[in-house]
Amino acid sequence: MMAVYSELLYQLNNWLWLISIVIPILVFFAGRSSQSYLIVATVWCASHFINLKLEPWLWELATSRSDNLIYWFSTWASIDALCIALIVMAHRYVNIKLDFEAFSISVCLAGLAFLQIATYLDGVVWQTKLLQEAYTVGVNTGHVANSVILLFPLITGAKEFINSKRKVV
Amino acid sequence: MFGLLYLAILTITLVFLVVQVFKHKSTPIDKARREVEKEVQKEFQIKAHQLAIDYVKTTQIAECDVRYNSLQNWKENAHKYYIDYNAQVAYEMEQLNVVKIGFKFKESL
Repeated sequence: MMAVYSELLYQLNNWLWLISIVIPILVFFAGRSSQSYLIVATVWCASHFINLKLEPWLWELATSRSDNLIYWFSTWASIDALCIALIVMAHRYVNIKLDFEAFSISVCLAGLAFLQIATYLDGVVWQTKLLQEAYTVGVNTGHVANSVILLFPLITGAKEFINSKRKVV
Repeated sequence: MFGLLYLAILTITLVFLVVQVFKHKSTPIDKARREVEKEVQKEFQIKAHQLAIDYVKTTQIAECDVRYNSLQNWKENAHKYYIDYNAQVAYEMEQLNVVKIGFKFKESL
């Protein structure tokens, strides 16, 4: 059951970048975007693109020697931390607060970064290997969750539209 | 060893960043202010348009007749416009709080 779920998430992850680009464009043209939303969507799309480009090269480097596994986990954790820093700094620069989407994606990215660190400690340092399954499912679920969060303005917009129609009737 | 040290620094940085994220999270008051600002901006667009027309007129007058005072007046009006805008936003926010307090008072009854 879990293996099927992991496989489904992995397959979905390959399409996720395309979905992550299309959703903000739709939200923008629907007039539901805010400055905060656009900042977080740009950071997320850029980081996802870098992830996709970096993954094969980094996997080769990490699996060439057992000592190199640190590069795999630390790179992903660093990218996540960098994304959060960029989101916070951009918001401070424009002098706005983090909206629901920016806040949720930042927390999700922090969770993913902590998961990377915990998995390295669990699998390589302590050799307990308790988080192997949680890592595969957690990372892919986190990526899907981030893209789903970007959909929220469209969902709330549709909800408001339906409510306004009901009031008219 | 170096890897572990790096991960420790990264963990501290992440904790700091998460604290910053929670610190800069928007509140319902921020959202209300944004909505109020949108409404006030709509009202002030007409005034801004009038100011833009006046600018062209007064600049022409100042250039032709050297009537510098009219340009000064325009500057005063423009300054007043920005003061009015901020005052209007503050007033609308105040009204919003009055409505909220009234609603709470009603509920308590």
